[in-house]
Amino acid sequence: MAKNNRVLIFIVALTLSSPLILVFVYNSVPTTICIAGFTLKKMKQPSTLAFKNKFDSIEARNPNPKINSEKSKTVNAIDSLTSIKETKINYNTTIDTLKFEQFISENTGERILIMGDSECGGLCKQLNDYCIQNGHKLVLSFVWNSATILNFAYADTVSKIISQYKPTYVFLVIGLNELYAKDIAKRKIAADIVANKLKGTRYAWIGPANYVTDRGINDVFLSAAAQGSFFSSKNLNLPKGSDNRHPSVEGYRIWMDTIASWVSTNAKYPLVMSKPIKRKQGIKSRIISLNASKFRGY
Amino acid sequence: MLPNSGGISGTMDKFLNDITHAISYSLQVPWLVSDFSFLLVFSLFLLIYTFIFDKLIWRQIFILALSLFFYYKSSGPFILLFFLISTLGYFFALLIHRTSGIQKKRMLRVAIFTIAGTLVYFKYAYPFVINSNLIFGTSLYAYEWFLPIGITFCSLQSIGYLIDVYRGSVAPIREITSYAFYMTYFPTVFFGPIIRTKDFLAQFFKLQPVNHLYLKNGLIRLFQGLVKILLLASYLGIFVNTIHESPKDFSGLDHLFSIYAFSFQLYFELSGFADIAIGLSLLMGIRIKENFDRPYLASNLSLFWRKWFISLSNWIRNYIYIPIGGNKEGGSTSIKVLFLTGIISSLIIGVDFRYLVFALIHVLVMYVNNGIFRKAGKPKNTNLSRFVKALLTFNFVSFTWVFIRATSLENAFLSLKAIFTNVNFSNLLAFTGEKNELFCVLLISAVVVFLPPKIYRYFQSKIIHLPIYMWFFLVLLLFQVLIQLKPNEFQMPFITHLF
Repeated sequence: MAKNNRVLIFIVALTLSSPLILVFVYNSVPTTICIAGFTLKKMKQPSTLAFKNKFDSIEARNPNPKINSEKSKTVNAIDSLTSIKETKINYNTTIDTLKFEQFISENTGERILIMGDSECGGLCKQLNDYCIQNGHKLVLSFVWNSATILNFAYADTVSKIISQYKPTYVFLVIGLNELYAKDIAKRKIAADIVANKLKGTRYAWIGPANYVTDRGINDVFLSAAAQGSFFSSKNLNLPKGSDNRHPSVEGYRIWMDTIASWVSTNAKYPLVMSKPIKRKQGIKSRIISLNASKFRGY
Repeated sequence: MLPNSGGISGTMDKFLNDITHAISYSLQVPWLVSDFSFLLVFSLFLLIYTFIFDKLIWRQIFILALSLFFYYKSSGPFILLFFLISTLGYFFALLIHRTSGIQKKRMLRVAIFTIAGTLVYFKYAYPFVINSNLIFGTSLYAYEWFLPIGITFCSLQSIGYLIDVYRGSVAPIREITSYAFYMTYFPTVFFGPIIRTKDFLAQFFKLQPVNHLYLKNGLIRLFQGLVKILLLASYLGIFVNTIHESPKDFSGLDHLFSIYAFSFQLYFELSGFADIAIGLSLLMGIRIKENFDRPYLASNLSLFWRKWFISLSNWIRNYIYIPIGGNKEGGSTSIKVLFLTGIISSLIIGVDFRYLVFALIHVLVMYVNNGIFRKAGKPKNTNLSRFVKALLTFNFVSFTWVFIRATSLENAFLSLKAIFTNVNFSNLLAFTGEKNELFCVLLISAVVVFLPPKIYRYFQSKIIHLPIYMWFFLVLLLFQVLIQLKPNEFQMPFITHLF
């Protein structure tokens, strides 16, 4: 009985392994087989997949950072079901491979630092997922709760942190605590000081995800930041958190997705930011959390 | 990896790259039994396995080695967490067996507290702290650990085993290899079925006969699972994800379709992995119990839970529901026990109000349903009444799954509100025309789910009797069909977020 069992299992093992070996060999060779005009597809290895996603991300992203409308969402859903067609367009006709390779080699493996007010605390977890996906290193998340541009301008904290952690790319998320600020002229001076501190570093200045109309702080930041490096979040319709002031976890995710889309396409300092395959991966780098009500910094 | 990297050196580089990839772990993309690379490793493993098939100890060690490699590939250093839970279970079982009376009971409590405590810390501490910070405005801190997939099932299996040892229904496993083999058995470790010692280990102390029908059935179950996961669930998942990423942007009709799409997706993922587990086990000459019994054809909710994820339902019944009182006393005690069971069951999935709401709604409906039956007596079942009841049960379950899938409780209610207030059926024709691919996948899914067992068995018998040389071409064809048709957009199965 045992011998008979062994022979049977061996035959079945061969029946399973030999087609799989053929599939893997076909995947490794550069040749593509066409039968009567019908191309036999190859399976994708994860690395190839990541490569292709980056391809898609450059060309196919919506340059408008606003969240997609219902219609475009619908189109996305339909397109993803007819992905063979979509891939052909993206992969073969609209991308210059050399440009793409150059872009990838210049913009991967960054040392990223994110700093800002309490919204930075929610956003850094989402950014972490992007960093892991794209080969960047999140060196520090500096969350200064209740802080305003004044704290960042008049404290030496920003310069110290930059010199200590030597980031090659900085995300600055600020403005939630000064949406009602009337002393715009004072804030303009502070914003210019912060922009000056960031000179020489590639950065993205992210405006607050405000659920109320601001009194001009977004315009102040827009004028202070280098052209094309400020991302206004004020028109985003993000899901609210339970405090009705900050975005929910889902809101932060959508916000980060929108920022990532902008950073990799329209920003002055572009960065490879493909959507992460896996979310909610723990932050392993350092998080510094301060409170401006206890430590103003100046 | 570039498309133009041709020639022998390019192929060689690619081959070496693939080998490196094959032996390194990834916490981002866990190695699942539905991955082709896993199936290749398994099929090569099976070739070697043939030679040690009748050597019982070697067989265990060989499968154990593959199981550990499988864990390592998906969890990297977090494999230690599995070791911790397994080792605790092993020693506690021996201690429980040695003690008696009140000491035995105490030992069991300590064992459950330790194993459940480990799971609670790694899985629940972070979401618990986040939720309590949100609700009570506290500023507590918890580290967000990477959670290896399958840690929930590993813990449940371990606790179930300890209770069985305590009750004396199984003897503790003394051989550490046998115990490790039982705890880490790779086909079931990530998504079940939860296996019980007495059903499982007995097969390893006596050689089970296999025949060609049995092995071919293993291949059929394997492909059945792959089609469910890689094709049907993946396509449905893309649509469902799009809706739930930003539910406010979609109409009631979109939400309505996403309800059914998710209902099918969840079933295909869970039952697909169970099919693969059963198929792989059959190929190794091991029988494990069915985990799904056409649940969407159930005519009431209690029956649905007896047919859905049977091993988990049984686990909850045997180790939670009955020990805390069951339905022996009736009346108010019964509802308390049911609610308590519901709360604990929701915690098995995770700490979130969505899961709690889902569990409590189900418990309440089951209680009301059972009460009606008790008072009115069991009604006569005609074909029509069975059909109507099954339809109602399916719809009820599908609508309540939204609490599992939505990203927040608020979004779950938003989806339901959109369905009940914002569905314009006059747009249905245009909607199905616009999303014809989705509609096709939904239609195929419905056929697969509701196909009468007779028709399924008819097709199965036709395929199973094909001569073995035809099977080579059939398997090759099926693999290529999967490659041709599976969506380009990679996504992790939804259930990886749950367990």
